[in-house]
Amino acid sequence: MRTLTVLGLAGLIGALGPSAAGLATAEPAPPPAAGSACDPHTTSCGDVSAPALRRLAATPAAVRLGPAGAGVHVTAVLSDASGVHEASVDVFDGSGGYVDTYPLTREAGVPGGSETWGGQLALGVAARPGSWSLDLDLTDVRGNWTWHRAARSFPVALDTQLDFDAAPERPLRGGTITGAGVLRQLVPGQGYAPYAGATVVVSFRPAGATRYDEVARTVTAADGSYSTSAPAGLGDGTWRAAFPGADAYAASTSRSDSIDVR
Amino acid sequence: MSRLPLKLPMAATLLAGLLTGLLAPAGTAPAHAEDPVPYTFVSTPDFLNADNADVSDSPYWEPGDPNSINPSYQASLTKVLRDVARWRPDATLLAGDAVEGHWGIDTLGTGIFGPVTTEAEQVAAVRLAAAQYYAATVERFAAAGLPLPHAAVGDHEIGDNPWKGSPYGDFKRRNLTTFKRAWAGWFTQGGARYAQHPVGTSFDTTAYAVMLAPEIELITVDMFTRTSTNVVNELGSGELAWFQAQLADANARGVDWIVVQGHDPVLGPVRARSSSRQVYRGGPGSPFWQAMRDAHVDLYLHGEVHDTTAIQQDGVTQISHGGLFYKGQFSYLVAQFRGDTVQLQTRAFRAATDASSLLWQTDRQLEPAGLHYAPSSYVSGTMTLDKDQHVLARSGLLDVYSPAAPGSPGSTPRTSPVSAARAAAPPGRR
Repeated sequence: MRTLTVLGLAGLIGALGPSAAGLATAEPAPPPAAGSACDPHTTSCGDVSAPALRRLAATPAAVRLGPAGAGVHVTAVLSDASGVHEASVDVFDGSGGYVDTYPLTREAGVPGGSETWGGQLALGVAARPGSWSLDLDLTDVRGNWTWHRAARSFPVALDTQLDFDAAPERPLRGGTITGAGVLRQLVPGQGYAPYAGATVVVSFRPAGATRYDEVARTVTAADGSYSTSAPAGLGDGTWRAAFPGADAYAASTSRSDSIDVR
Repeated sequence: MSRLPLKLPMAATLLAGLLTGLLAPAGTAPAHAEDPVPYTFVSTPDFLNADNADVSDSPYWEPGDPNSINPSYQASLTKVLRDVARWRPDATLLAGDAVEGHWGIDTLGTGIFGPVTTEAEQVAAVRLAAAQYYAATVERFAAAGLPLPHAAVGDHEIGDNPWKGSPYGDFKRRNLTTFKRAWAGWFTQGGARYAQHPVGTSFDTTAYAVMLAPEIELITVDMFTRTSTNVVNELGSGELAWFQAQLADANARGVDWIVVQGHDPVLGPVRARSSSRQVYRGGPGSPFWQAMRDAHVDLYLHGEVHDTTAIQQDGVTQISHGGLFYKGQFSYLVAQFRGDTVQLQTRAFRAATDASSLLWQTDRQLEPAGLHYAPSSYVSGTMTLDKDQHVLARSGLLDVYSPAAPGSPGSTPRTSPVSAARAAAPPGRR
């Protein structure tokens, strides 16, 4: 059985004397004490509830780590009868390792009502990809504290770059079109390197259509290059390639290339 | 003196203190509205009183072996030390028990610090463990932007009591010098860090005096003396003589504030949590205390009891403070010297633990693997003293301690069921 122990310092309400009254606006009060004037079983106690978490979001929902890292904005919608005093998140990376703790600040709302707190996380270039998670700490101005373990998780993946070229630009209707390019993966601290053994999907969107349909699927070579052919008889339209993402690497889509069939 | 030139009237000083440092927002750097900035030190005895470090650095560690740290501890350590650093302390103090220190044995047979079959192997394991855990302590303070602590030897720096009555107790006593040297290498640089120390005694590298500021002297003592059959909690004779001379010299030089740091309490009763409650041999009747009394020492700071109590006697204020980090009880003392007053406050944290599994140590497996600290501390006690040891204000855990009085802070259960009921999330572990 998991043992839960929450520790608070008892016996202090009233002990700090008149000066403690001034603490309310400067820092949270000490935890209420059992048997003190602030007894939750009486109606004189006032607010004994820690802030409630309504919603916690991370933007973007899926993080792409580039050569300079990435930024993530965390937004928490909270409510508390007395007002939220402090909110922060502990950030854990894809391997479960502790990354850092970030304070959140009030972005909207007023104490006593719905409050929106937010903060910007900076993911460094050496950040480990995977499913990141946030522990959230909340304290109100009365000293009521709570925390939420793994209150939000979000995927973090390394950037990839995919280029694509379809040739020839004006093929004969009975001929073939060759789509080729190179897939590169971000190697933290080293820039981009060829991504070998990755699946690349080549798609075609006929002129006037709104959707791409898969035409061919291939695997990148040791130098990250790929090449595949398709009949030009598909007609006029736009070609492109896509890497659907794999393991620690983010999906990427190439630029599109228009072909006019003669 | 450069740091304390302004001699404000007492009332004004107190008021300024209440409006600035004592009520500083926990989430921001403490306000220093006064000019000049006070001299500030933070004291964290018994931090951590446990072995927490990434021991995968050990040459004997192998994949699959346990470790003495995990992400929940790393997060908690980062948060509490950042909270300490918000005070921008000029100095940090650590009155012993930085570690668990049960080294030279390997209860679970992991071999992480090498074999411990022979005494030579045990000694090597002590040195290796000390290098791991003391290095981690030093690095943590540095990473938080905190000064290297002025530290003292506690019982855990020498393997923890007892030091007789068992083969391991005898080993620790026989190798007391090994334990102390291992500690001194990190905290006094083998004595070289401090100009004043009891040269020619066996406490040469573990006791010292240092001027923290032109009018504040800190004297740190080692109160663990080996006899032929035991280790006793008192200063060695040569160390005591040096201590008395150091105090006399401080008095002769007119040092305004004398702060003494040792591991054990001298006065009682004091609050205690999860402690073997060692006390200084002879208590207030000891030559050690009498020397402090005669020299008008202002503050005697100690650890060992993992709790907070202030006692005034003979013109000396003894402050018990600190708490067990792994139990979620870490607390610290902030001392701010302004003119003729010193403002003290103890600060504690909200925290949660999960003992469904434990972190590894060489001997006792005590530390819950799940640990979570709130990012900011709160005031648990305050005390303002003038140079004549008049109490200008005191509150909370630094108020008068009367253990027999119902309803006093000391007699109230320390774990609040109110707080427990408000926990919204299980602490979990990582």
